[in-house]
Amino acid sequence: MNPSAAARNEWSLRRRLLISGTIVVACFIILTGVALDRAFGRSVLALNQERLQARIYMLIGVAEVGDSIVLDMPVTLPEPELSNPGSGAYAAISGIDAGLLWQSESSLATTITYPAAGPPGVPVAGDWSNSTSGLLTLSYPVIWELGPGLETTLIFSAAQDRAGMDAEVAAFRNTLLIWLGGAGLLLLALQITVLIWSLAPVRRVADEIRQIEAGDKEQLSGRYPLELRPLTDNLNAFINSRQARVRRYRDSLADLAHSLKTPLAILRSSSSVKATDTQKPELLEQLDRMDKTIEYQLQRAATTGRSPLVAAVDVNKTTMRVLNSLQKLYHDKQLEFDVRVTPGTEFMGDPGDLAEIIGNLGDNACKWAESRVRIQVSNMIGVPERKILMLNIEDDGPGIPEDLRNLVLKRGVRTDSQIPGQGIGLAVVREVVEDIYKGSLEIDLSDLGGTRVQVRI
Amino acid sequence: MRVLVIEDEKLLREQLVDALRSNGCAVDACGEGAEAIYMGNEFPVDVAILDLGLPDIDGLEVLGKWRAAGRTFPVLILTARSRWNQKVQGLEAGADDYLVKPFHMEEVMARLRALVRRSSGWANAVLVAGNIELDTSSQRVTVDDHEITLTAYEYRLLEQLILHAGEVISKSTLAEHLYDEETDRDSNVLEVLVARLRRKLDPDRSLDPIETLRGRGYRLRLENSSS
Repeated sequence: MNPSAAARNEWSLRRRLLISGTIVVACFIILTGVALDRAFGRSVLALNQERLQARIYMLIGVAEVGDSIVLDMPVTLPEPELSNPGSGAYAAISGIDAGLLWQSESSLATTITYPAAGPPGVPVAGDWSNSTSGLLTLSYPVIWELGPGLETTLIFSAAQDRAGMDAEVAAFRNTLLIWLGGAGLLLLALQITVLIWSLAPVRRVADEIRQIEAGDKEQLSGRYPLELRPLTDNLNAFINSRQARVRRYRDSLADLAHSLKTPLAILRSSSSVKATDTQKPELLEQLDRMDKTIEYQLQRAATTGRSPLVAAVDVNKTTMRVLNSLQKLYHDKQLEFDVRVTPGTEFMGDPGDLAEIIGNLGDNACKWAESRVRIQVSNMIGVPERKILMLNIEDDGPGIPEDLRNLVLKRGVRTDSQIPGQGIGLAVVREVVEDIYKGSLEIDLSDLGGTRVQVRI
Repeated sequence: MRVLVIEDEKLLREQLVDALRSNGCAVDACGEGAEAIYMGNEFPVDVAILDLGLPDIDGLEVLGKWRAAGRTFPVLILTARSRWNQKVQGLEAGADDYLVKPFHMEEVMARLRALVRRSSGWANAVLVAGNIELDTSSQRVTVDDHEITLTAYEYRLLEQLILHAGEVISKSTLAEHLYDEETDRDSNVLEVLVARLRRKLDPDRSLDPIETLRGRGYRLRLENSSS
């Protein structure tokens, strides 16, 4: 699976923790807010109802009823607000049959609808949730004894402007919002701090791996929490064993090469000296085949390929080192080298493989060139986003005819055996580029007149 | 020209020595790093063939020791190590050419000659001094465009003189580059050899290209020469 696609699909740990933490904090804050608001609302309502009830008891206490059901109310009531018009405190007394008997002076300018009374002794509140009337109302029917055996039902009603209560509730909500909001922000900040602190080791692992990839470090060296230690220990062990294996592998390849090629060299020179003229071509041809097979397989096996946890190769340095070698090897041809490496060009792979690619292609170019060899190296951003190494090697030699271009890429085939060499250079390079690095290699004509080999890795 | 051959495989070493001797070279050979360091530092070597996979000391280290001791003779690395980063390492360590085993003997010879020529300051494969032309690749010698036949030692002598044409070369230096450790060196032998070469190059004694500087040695005249 493509790693960048995986990164898109998979949320990061930090993101998961941040989102889930935020949701928890938000739920807690909202539920707490709602619960407190409800509780406060109820207690305020209960308080106001008690006040209205108290007003009604006060009215009952001061009311004097004559025989003809004529109310006699004192001019000054214990609650002075009832005497001030528009004070917000209202009261009224009505008979069940006789209609309105008395109302407070404060309610003279307004019409107040009191709730219809139920059975005596049971207070009936208006629809308090409905704020359109702007009033909290309460009616309380009382059976009043006018005389022995004579009684009537009087409805005592009280009303209170709800602005005061609403202001109280609003003030409470305001305070609640400030405190809960503050607490929420504090919790969020705390949560982020905790997150950063507890994810720090994970980030440290990532940092160290980056350093290993950049070549600044060989191992994960930091001390890690218990949960991460199995991971980091295994990673270290993996890095170690991989390095050791590559080393061991290369050593044994070098040994193998040496122990196979030296006898081959002996055979070749002794058969060119001692063999009869009829044996010689056959012997030399077979020796040549053996040599090429060994060389080909060794080169293939020695190629490391792209692997994780490897530092990017400084292409300029590798190119210049190979170039110096080529100049030494082809000193007598007095070639003119035109080498252009874009500064900062990088190659994600093995430096030995890069040297092998540039060396073999450069070697071919030098072999065939009349006087000029051109090498150009640069990076290109590919799709998906990743650096691609572009390598152009050109010469002004005879060039490779179109019908032979595929042939030279086959292993061990050399189109012209006049110029000494291994003859497997191109084939090995193609294998390394296409099979191991999944890149491409193309041969065409150079504007210098000879061959141009173009490699993209 | 005197060649130092460092190769640990006895058979291959002998083949190289035989081929070099039959191509007119004086040869010293050994198969161990420690001995190689000694021979390279002490012998008058014109060019060395160095195998990298030696049993005791790595060839690159041997090369490093020679260069550290100020020895500048050209070195041809002859090895089984064919990876490019190994070639780069070898050439950076001070080698002048690199050949991967198995090799063609003719190519070894051609590269050795080119290296010696280059180290003496000659750019071309054909060395010219006055009316004498020496083709190092075909080993043919012509005087006034007439080919003359030389024995192996006569050829070596002429090659040595012409490589250092215009310079005085002492008898002992000449002998060192003509004969290896195994050859009996007698100053009379050299004088006889010089006399024979003079007769072949200049039968009527009109030009006398090889000067004798009494007590100092020999010098090949540079007149009419173009290098």
